[in-house]
Amino acid sequence: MKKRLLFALLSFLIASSSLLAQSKTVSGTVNDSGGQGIPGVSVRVKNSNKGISTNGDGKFSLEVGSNAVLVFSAVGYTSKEVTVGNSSTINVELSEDAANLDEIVVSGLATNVKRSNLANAVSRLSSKDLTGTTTPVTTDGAIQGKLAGANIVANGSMPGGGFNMQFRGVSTLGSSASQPLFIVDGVYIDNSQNSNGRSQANKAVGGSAASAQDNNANRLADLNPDDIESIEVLKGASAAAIYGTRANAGVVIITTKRGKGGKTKVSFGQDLGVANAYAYYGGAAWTADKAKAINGDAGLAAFNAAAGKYTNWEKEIFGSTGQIKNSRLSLTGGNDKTSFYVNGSYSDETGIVKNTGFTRASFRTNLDHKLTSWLDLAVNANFVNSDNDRGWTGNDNSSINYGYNIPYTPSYLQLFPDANGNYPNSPVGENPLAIRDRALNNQKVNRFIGGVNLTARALNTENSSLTFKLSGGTDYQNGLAKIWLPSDLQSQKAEANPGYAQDTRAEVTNYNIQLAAVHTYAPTGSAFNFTTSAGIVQLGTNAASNFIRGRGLPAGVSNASRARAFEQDVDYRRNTDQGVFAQEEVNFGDKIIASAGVRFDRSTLNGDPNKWYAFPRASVASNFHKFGSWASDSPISQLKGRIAYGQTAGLPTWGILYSQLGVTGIGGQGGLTPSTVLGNTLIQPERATELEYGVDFGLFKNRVTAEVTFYNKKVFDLIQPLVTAPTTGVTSTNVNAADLTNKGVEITLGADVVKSSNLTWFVQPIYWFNRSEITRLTVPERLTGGFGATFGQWRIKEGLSPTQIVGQPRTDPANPTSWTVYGDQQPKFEFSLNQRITFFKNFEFSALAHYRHKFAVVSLARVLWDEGGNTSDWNETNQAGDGKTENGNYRQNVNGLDENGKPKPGYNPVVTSFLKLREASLYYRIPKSIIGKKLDGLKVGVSGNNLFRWTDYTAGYDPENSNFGSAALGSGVDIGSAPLVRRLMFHISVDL
Amino acid sequence: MKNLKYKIFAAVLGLSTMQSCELEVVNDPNFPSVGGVSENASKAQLDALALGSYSLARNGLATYTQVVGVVGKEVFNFNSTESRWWTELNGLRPIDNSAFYNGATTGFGLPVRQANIILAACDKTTQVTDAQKNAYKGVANTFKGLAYLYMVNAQGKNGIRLNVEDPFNPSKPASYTESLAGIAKILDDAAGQLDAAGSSFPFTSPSGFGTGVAGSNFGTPTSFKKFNRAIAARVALYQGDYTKVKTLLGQSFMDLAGDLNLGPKHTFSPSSPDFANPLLNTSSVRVVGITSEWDALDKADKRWSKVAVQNPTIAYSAGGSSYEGKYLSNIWKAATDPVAIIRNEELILMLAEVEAQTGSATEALKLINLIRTTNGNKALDNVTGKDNLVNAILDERYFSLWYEGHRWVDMRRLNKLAQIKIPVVGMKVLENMERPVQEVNWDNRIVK
Repeated sequence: MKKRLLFALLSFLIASSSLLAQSKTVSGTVNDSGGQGIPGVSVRVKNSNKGISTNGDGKFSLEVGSNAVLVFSAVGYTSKEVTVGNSSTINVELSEDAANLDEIVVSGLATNVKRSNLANAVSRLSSKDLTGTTTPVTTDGAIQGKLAGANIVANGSMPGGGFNMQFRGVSTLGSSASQPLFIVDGVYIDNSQNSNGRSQANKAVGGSAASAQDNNANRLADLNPDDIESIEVLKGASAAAIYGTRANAGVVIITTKRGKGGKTKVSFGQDLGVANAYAYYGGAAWTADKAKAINGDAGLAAFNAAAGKYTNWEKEIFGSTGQIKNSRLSLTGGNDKTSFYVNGSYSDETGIVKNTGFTRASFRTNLDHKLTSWLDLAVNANFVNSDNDRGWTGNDNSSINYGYNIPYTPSYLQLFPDANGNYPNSPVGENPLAIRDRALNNQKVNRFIGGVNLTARALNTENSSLTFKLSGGTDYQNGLAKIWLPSDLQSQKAEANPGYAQDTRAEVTNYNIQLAAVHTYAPTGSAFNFTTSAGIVQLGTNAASNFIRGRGLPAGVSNASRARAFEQDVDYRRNTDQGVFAQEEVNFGDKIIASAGVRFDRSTLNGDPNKWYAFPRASVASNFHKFGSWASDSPISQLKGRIAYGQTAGLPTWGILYSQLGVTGIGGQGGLTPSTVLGNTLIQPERATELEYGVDFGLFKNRVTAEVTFYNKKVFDLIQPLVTAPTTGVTSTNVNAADLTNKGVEITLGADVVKSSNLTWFVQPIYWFNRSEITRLTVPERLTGGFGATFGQWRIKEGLSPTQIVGQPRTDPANPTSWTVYGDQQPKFEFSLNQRITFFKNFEFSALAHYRHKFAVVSLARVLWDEGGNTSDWNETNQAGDGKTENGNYRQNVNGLDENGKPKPGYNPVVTSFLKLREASLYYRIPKSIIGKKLDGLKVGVSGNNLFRWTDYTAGYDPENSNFGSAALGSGVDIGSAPLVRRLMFHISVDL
Repeated sequence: MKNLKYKIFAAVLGLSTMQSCELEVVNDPNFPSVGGVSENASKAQLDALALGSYSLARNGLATYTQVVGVVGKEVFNFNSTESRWWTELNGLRPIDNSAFYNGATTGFGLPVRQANIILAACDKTTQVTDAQKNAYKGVANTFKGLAYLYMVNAQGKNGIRLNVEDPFNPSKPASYTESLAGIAKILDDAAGQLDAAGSSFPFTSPSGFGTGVAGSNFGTPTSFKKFNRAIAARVALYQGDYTKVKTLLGQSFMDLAGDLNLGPKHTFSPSSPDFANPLLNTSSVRVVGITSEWDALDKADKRWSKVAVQNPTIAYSAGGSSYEGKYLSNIWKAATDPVAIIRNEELILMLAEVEAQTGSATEALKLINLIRTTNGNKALDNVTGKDNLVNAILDERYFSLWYEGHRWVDMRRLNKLAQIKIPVVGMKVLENMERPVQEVNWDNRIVK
């Protein structure tokens, strides 16, 4: 028992114990190629469960038998085996491993597997991949362009994030979770977008419903990317099957950093940077005639009054320089019983529009403690306060959003406030400077994410082990959003009740608890190794939100409760899921690794809350290079074939079950009226199956590696609105009515092109594409998303891609559904190129370029600029073909395809591509010889986002935009948006 | 230590028993359900549903009134954030069957369903008296008929679905003639039910029907029936059945000596669950009159109060054409201003039309002049011939019923759409709204 006290944190590596007759102590240091000690390296006695991990300086000390072989392994490094022999000091240098074949990847709810034995293409990103180049604002931003098979699109450029993330195509048509499940250290976290009523303030939507047009960030923004040790992405059903009923859109498993024992290490990092608009869009010149034609007498009067004094209002609004200030201070350390990681960070970023910004204060403590020789405890606690001023962009129906209004605001207007701070009225609805300076759109979140993991090793013999793992956690967030439009704004003065204020509170609690048992068995003298796991899971959500919305505010009052007219709402949501699972993994000498498992789930979100749904999975991987010795004489250092199958599901969204009687009021009396949507109490979850297969190989001692994956992901029983004839008073009910397939290819290559002591050059090209097709549809075909067929919508029709974009004109005027096909929102392919170059030992350059090829964008952005007369090429006459019609006028009267089948530049969607240099950086690690003994490390660097962009998109600022936030279908609508933002940063980090 | 170990394992086993219990159905924590009123509804529930009918009668009001007004070139909607009010509804670009203006048709589906739910609930409850049932049914059927009438006005020759009790098996659209006949029958059923509804309603009528708002007094079965008969008269006028119009007008609240604004009103409050008058001009929605038409109205006419003269004028441009608006709508000024459903002024003009169509020229002219002089205008003295009289009535209807959703419907029922003046070159007058794409899709669906 005493020996077990020496167990390191990476105890899950340990298979079985063995007793050793004679022993001695060896010690040493594990260094990287630059001579720096590597903390946390697993040092294990081969064929035993004995091991330790290195301390913060890379040092270790271990009692071993005389003929022992030590295995040194660490994530990101090539493993090494060293025979102890007579030496008592063993110093080892590990080289960085591009292919990461030895890294540990999650293979089940309680088990792990070495990447080299993995049967799925599970993408794993380390902290170096995520935050090593530049400091991303949010975690989803940190993943963008770095994963094969992931389509991650920014919803806009306002600070605070907002992304739409889809793995392997379309996994729902909108009535189940379109975004992946996020699990942080075992805690299922919330990633929804909280409503704040902004789309009611600017009338982007009618009624009082919550709306994606509020343009809020998804709440993954609360997670500090710097806390993350690694992210594993289970993209499809074959890898995610063991997560069952919530895994249809994929699972993202986030592991945060932990203490590694040894000397307490203090690290401090600081970023300073700026953010600027990448490019502008408007700028057409004005004449008196044009002013009169577009803006009438008021326009003409303003034009004459301007007398040549013009202002570029677009630059006035979007031309500010944002400031980026990120600070972080972390402490790690511990002893052989307890280790800790503490990180406090503060991020402060202002946008390119005055009065927009995002701040996040995050404090995390991760503690590991060995209670006894057989019982380990890990506790994680993260408190976050985030504060986001999102500004006013996107769709609008009251001239409030400057993103919407700037396209209409001509340069001849005089809009600056006078000496008393009064903003002049604008003849085009509202003075955008008044909105920028005086309107409020703020969202604050206080959030606690905490979890406990208890690992009990009940049995540990030479051949077998039995471990119980109990884990649970909660994600509690409390949001406060405030909207205020002062009553003396020009747009408000035109209202019957001027002034708008809304106070929205949201409280969301997610909890989960899991109990699992893992049994390993390795018969003596056999190459077989069995791992059996089984367990139970329960998770749930309790959410409540309420708002008070006031219209008709006295001057200067921003408190919604002081208004003349009110709306208020309280909304509750709760659900419980339960699951049981079992899985068997068989490893035959690392040659053949097979695994099979099943999970059963039930949920209160299904029509029958007590019906169990089964999700089986099976996979086989074979390391061909380990059969015989043929590979040792060839350049092939690794060759693995793999095939995996699995099933998952997506739960119906909240509310589908219910036929509601709504409450209405007239003359102070309350009445009841039915909802136009009928509930369906027979609804079933959407179910997916996936077959994934591929080949991984390494050449020249794995200097070149490749991972090639093919998949066929089928989704069944997709929930669709059965759209009824609306004159019946019922507009739809939700039914399980469609199937679709996603087929795709993912290729990730990696090559250490140069690997010398003075220069290393690592190149990682990634290529992927996905094709979706609806294979069954039992409800009438329909259009969804967007703003009507005039501008382009998504078509749901059997035999076609659900992300196909169609619109006016009809190809056959007599056939009401004969829409013109413009393209597909999913790109033809995506390609990214990641490069890392180190030179002179201490310099490191890295860059990530991302190319997205030919995807359709529903753009209304140019429509606004054209209608307002401000598009930069408005006055030119090269598009109509007659040589005299202005482009801006011509485009307002055309749609459809030109003779080459390409979308015309008019009232219709466009097909576009882009290449972005998403991240680039240069760091210098100041050598020990200069910094001396007082510091452990000192690193300085510069980095940037969007340093370069190429695109053929001319219908707006940037083809990456979503007025409707994250959505299965219908995101990617560009309207009223803000320019792409380029960020430049200086970094310094100090280790003590 | 060993003991603790076993205790923990025991606890773990205990936890695993959570799997054995059933998950409870989560009832909707936010709203009552439709199922809750379908069997043996209480009086309180039926009262609430009846009030829901009054409330839902305002469904689609703004979209309908504005769409019908724009299509009939009675008004323009200078909508600064939605150019389709200008382009597509005026025929400058093709009309779309999936756009927001479908609401002029589909907004009336829910009031019909509300009525059907009330009718079904009345047949399945024992908690109210027969007279009370007849009251609920009479009100429900009256609002059902009214909603259908708006719907068929928008759809014209496309017709409407008269049987939608089962939303998954609705009837095919009836022809225009059948649609009007169906509406007339629903309204007649309502009249019979109101006759058998006793002397008072089981619920308190909203102020626009009770006595809270000037000109309204429709809070009892007998008086509510006068409103019902007024709507039925409008249907009969569209059917061209002038004898029936005259009979129905006699049963309605028409009062030749009365205030022209007599009649029930929609009322509003900006605080939820009520809502503000949706016809007000806002920062982005400005409804303006057609300059050339208004310029023809005598300056002394009181109907000028319906517009506010703009100086300087307000301009609108989209899709390559533009317009100078001089007369901004000014009928409703506050969020609580009521909106008339049907007014005495319309009933008198209906009677005038009946007289003109049935050869009583003198009577017709007398009624035209009643409207003109009551409105402060000069009397006409030399209108003869049926067609001239009808045109004179249409002129009065233009100003008397301006921005109340009549012009386009009037010109269409009299086959005079071609006579509508086109204010902007290139504009066209649509004959009817397209059938909404969901309606088309439902009828074309292939059941698998």
